[in-house]
Amino acid sequence: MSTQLQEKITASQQVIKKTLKKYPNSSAVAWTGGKDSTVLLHMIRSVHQKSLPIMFIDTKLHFSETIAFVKKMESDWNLNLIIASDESGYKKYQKTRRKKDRKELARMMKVNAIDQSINKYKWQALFVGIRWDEHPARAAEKYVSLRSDHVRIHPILHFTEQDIWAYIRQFKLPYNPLYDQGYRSLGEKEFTKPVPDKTQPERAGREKDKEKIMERLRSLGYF
Amino acid sequence: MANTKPPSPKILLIGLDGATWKILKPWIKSGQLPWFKKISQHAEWYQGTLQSTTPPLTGPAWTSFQTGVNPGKHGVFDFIKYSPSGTNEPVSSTDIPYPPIWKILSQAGKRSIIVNMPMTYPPQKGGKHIVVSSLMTPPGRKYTNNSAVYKKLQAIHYQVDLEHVTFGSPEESVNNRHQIYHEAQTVAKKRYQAVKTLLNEPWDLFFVLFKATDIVQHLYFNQTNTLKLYQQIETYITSIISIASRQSGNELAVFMCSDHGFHRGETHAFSIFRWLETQGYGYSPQPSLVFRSLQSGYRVAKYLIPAVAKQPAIQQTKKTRLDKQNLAHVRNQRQKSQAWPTPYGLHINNQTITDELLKKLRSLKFNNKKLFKKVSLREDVYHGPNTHQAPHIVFTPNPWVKIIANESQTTMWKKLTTNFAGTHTADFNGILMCKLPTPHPPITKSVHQITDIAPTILDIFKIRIPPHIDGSSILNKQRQKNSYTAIISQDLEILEAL
Repeated sequence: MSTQLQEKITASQQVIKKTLKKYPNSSAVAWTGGKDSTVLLHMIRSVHQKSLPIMFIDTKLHFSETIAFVKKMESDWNLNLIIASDESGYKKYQKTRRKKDRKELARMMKVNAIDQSINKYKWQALFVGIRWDEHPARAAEKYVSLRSDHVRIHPILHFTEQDIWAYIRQFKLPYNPLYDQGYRSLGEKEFTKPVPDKTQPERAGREKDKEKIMERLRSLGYF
Repeated sequence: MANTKPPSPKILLIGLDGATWKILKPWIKSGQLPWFKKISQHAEWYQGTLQSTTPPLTGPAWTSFQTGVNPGKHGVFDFIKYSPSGTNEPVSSTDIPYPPIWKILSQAGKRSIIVNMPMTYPPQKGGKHIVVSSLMTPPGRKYTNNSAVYKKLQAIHYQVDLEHVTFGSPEESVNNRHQIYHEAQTVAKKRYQAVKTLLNEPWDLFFVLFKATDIVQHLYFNQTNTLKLYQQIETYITSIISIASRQSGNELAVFMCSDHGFHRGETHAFSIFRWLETQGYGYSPQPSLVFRSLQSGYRVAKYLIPAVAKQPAIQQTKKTRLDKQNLAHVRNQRQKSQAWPTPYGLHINNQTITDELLKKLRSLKFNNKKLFKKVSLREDVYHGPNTHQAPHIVFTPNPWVKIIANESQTTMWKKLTTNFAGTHTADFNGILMCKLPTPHPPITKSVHQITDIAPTILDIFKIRIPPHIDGSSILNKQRQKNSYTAIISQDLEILEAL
């Protein structure tokens, strides 16, 4: 492993340890089944022996491969998985025809599912696997992001896409098979396309107008 | 009761495009630039080096200057964006995803006036800032985001850039260099008049760039005409500082910076396009039959019926058809090649050849002299979400060689008989001079990065430096980089305090 990657891991672990020291019994991890949050999950497990709650938001709009991967990981890693969802949002989504509106509803389903889980489980710290280099809208993110009722912790902000894959290779982590089909960033099946051209940005497969509202998403709580 | 709140400083930034100590120091020492000599002997004036971006070009360098981030984040690697689809489009201000310093200041309630900052066209509205755009402003277009300011500048016949002469290829420019020189002087004078007008507006940060220094150094390098231009600009600078000082008293910080260095013009041209071709990486088809027919058809028409051929509508049709054919030709080249070049790097279609290309480029020699100072993978030079837009391999040529990245040169090597007297493809060392309101922490380093200026401005105004900024304030006592480790330390302190 390169020294640079090792330094990055150490820095991330420092953030994780300090958070868990501060909130030993009220921390949770947001896991999407994607590569970034899987790396984060592995990193947390490597420094913390206790089983933390792992929140997976099921919008019912995921790829079947993502759901299968989540189930397999739950079993293989013995995860304390909490499935969060927004049923009323999904009903509205089903009745909606315009793609633009469906997309907005899909976004709100995620925001609502997080809010409901935070309220229900009284989590004070939520670990989220976002990275600065994913998109400029994330460039101003902090490691510790204060919200009205909890704090978001972003331990892998400084990881690049290459670092993530180097970590996955180094620790032989399982990953979602969709990445081998040309997907580089995973979202809802309806709004995500493969990015076979490596010269395109990582999130190019997600529809462009989605990127335009990234910043707004962040402020509303969607990670 | 006396008001004990310390007065808020003002910051005056003066850009001298392409200014280098290499040219300036002998003139300062000999007293030919008397004001520069005076301040160089004054302890309150700091002098150092400001390192440019890779490549050391006006476009990426001033974009890093204004945003504080490396090109891997702001995505500007040249004046233009090269695309595999064959297009080469100019970069506009809307292409830059990170906020320039004046937007961050605006959010903190500070007012900025920005005159002639490159890559600011179209000038963006929405804040406490007046922006007067720079080169890349299409002729005749509104060059500022403020209508009242536009009227005032129109009244003094403000000129964004050279309008009456073309500063283009070396052959064209060298032949017209006297005209270019005189117009560059005129533009500098108009810029100074604009600054005097705009200094009457309220401001906390004032920036002006004198671009003429770069143009004239290209034409004359360190000859007398360049000295004369610096002497002209020296009088403008002293006048601008004097006005700004009267407005701010002792609370004025002054910075003079350049975006890159300069060196003598190259003696040889190396066609990396032809090199890729001979090495079997490039694909260089003959122009299509349609393209050739169009070209020869127009030539015949021009000879037989010159009056008709000169009609604007015919000219426009010809241009449109040829442009379309040329685009298809370049697209074909770029998409079918294993690797295709830009003047500063190689885009690679076949990733398996990356290592072998790196090795070959690093060992390329001519007359026992290495061609490249540095050849790197883009990931080793840049970081950030726009790194993917850079060429996969990034190179810096040695100062004696000019890299030709298109098919214009038919041979791999060419000795240059007509070329610019000076250029800057291989000189990263710009200048930095500053005078800060006292007291201030000592500046302990002599070399700074161009990304350090934006955070230094924030530091002087006591505004938190956003974590996305790559540079660090030159006033930071611990010399701690604004790296992720520094940001983690700050953020963990916040966590502890919760």
